[in-house]
Amino acid sequence: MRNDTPILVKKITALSLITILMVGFFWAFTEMPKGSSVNVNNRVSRLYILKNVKAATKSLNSGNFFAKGMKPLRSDVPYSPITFGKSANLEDGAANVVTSIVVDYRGFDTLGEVTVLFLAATGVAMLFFGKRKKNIIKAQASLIMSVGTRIAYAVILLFGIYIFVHGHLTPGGGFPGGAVIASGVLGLFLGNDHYESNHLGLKLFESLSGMAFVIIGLTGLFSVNSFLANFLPTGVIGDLYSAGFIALIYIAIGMKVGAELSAVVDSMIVDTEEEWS
Amino acid sequence: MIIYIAALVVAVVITTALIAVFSKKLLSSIIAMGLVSLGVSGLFFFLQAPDVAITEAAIGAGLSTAIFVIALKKVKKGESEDEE
Amino acid sequence: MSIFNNAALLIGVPLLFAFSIPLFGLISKQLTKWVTLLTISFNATFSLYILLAHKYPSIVVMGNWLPPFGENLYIGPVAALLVSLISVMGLLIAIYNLWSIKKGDVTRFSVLFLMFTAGASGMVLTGDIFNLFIFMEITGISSFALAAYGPEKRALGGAFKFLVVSSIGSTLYLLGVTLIYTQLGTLNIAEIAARINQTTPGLLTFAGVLIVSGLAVEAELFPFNGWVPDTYTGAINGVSAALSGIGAVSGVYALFRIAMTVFGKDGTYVSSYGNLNFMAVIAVLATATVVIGELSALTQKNVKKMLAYSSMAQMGLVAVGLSIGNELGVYGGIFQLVNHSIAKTMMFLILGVLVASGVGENIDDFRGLWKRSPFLSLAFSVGAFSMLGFPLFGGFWSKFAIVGASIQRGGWYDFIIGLVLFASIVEAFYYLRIVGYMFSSDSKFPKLKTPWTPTIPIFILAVSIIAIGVFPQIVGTFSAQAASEFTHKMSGYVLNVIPTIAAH
Repeated sequence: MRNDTPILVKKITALSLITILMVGFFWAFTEMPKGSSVNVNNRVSRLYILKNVKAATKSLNSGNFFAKGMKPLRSDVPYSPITFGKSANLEDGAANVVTSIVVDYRGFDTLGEVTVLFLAATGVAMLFFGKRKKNIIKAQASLIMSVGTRIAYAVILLFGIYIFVHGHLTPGGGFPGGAVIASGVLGLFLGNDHYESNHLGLKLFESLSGMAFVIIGLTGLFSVNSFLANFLPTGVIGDLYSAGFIALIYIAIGMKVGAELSAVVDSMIVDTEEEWS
Repeated sequence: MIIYIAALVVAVVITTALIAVFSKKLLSSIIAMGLVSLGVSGLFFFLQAPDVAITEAAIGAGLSTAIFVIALKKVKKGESEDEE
Repeated sequence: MSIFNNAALLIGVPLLFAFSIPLFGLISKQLTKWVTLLTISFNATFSLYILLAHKYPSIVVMGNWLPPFGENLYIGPVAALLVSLISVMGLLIAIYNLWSIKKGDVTRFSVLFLMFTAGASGMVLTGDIFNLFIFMEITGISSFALAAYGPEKRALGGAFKFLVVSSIGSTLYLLGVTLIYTQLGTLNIAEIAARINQTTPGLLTFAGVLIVSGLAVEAELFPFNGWVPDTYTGAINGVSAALSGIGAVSGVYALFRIAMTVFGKDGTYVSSYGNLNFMAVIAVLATATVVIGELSALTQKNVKKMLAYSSMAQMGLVAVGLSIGNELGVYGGIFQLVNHSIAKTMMFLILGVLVASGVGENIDDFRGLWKRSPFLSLAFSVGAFSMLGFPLFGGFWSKFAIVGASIQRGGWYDFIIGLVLFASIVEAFYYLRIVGYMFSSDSKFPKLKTPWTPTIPIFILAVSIIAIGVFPQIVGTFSAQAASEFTHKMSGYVLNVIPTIAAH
């Protein structure tokens, strides 16, 4: 598509693409298994929820896991009830199932996601590289706004920290916690015309917490012989000190995401002058 | 009861999504997109996915809307400088 | 199943250093390029050790959860060969960057380049269909930012196009993965591959269309490659070299891992499950890519743009070879991928050196280059001859194998190979035109002073092209193993990851 293509051609192309996608999705939805017919017991996620992957691995290694026309017999995995505040030394001690999947069973994906965010922040900062001028928002914030944002910042910061520290117990975790912190920093920028963030501090936070994540992973490799393996005791489910390395990783992620998104806001809100010398 | 609230949220999401696509002003598109994220995060909550709902609300409705507005402001500033 | 968990260092070490490079940048900007260089050289050494010490096939278990429950990396012949290729190319381009990247935000460029290489390695290594998406994003986001690097405005336009197209592509891929997950409840490539016939064919077909079109963006196949010319031309030459020598390699790998292992149905020629034979679809798209790419390259007066179109066409040729689906065809395709990566990287690096020393990008500026810089013009000709497939250059063996395999297959592949050969003639015309310009006329301009740092990678690449041309078994043995992995999905892939999985 060139710039001089007639607008009608563009619209027809767009419309036909949308139609193809919609027809395709409709077709796919008609063939999708209905809610009642899906056998949830066949899903890997059932084993995650039961925290019983190791038993399933044993059944897999003994060779009777995939039988009868390749249907996995995940429902055969023994079920043992998990009681909040009582069950101890489970294979994954996080009370929040999503966290146990995201950080423990599929922790490698999370490391990748953190890297994606890191690269996006790095790319944004590289595009706006140059001599820094001043804040582009000249809103002339009122007294209420500038005092209010400063008070709110403390509360928002505390709430963000709460979200990621309690990631293994309650909904939320490193990513939303960091985003909450960054929105507090955004408030500071909006409320104070001359606000300057501490660049060295942001950089240190970002790098050190990222390195902490990888070093936790490498500790797993050297102690349990598997990258990103949980090498700490998992404790009693529901305790703050439980779930092994999940809390540590979520603290690292929270600090990293908070510093990164703050740096993105910072590099976008400040005007720069290009220099290639 | 909850199904009616959810249906209302779905209607809001679809309406704001259409506004975001067809609006002539970029600023209103961005605000409408923020509303879409907010509605979607509500839907995630109804679907019993509080983790996703929190993330969507914090990132989709909050931070990315703000970043879009800042980017729009930057683009407009660049345009007015070119005219000078 | 043999487990080789230490290979997780191939991903872990680059990540550790990528996060720490901003701290090194506080000490000195120029130091960060050395950190990148040393980290990639660790990767290159380790991956060559895996390749040469024959540590494959093995799996790397992540988080101590065995597949299919956790995530795993799979190091088969293909992954071992391609990860070595990617790391070595990354190392050579990093040496070139020591000389070429002096201005601008060097620290962040180093971070992005390191993660671009590591992300491409991860794409090749991973054994999980969602993890593949993550690594696609890592490679993609770092390559948008790298493509935007540089003082020129055209870089921004190219990078923006790439950003939009590639984001749509990865969204389509993710939707396709979701559809497969609704059916099978697993994300492990080996388990999906073994159980793919349990899905409903309609949904499988639609998911496949989404996934193939998403991955075709990275693999530069025809209707999805509109970004290629602008992005390659806009980016600085080191980045263009990385995009064609590293990014495209991982893109093609991912496309065929999905088409041949996940959707594939073993047979004399690999075909796919579902209502649509994706191998045939890819063959048609790839042929269109070759023809359109070569014809567009012919009309270009700008050498960089010409190389960009030629790069696109070469990826099409690789895809033609792989899509034939027998061992000879896959052998030719993988071999061609290696040759293309080596030759195109070298040519972009040469162009970078020439442009930096004041030679223009236009084809007329290449007149009499032989008198001005004999080394660079010889190396450029070596690359061009390898692209064309002259005997005693690397490209000969791969093109020979691809043509042989298509003739073996016959049928409508006769038609495809006819078009490809026609495109090769077009390609010969424009490459020989440049070579002719370089060697024919005299130049009134003075001799070029070539700096020594960038000549090291160019020299190594040129020598390796001739070495592969004379001793094709250097690459040939590995690509033959790779071909047997790609064409036998159960014994080549699935049973190496989950040994107890039942056969069909």
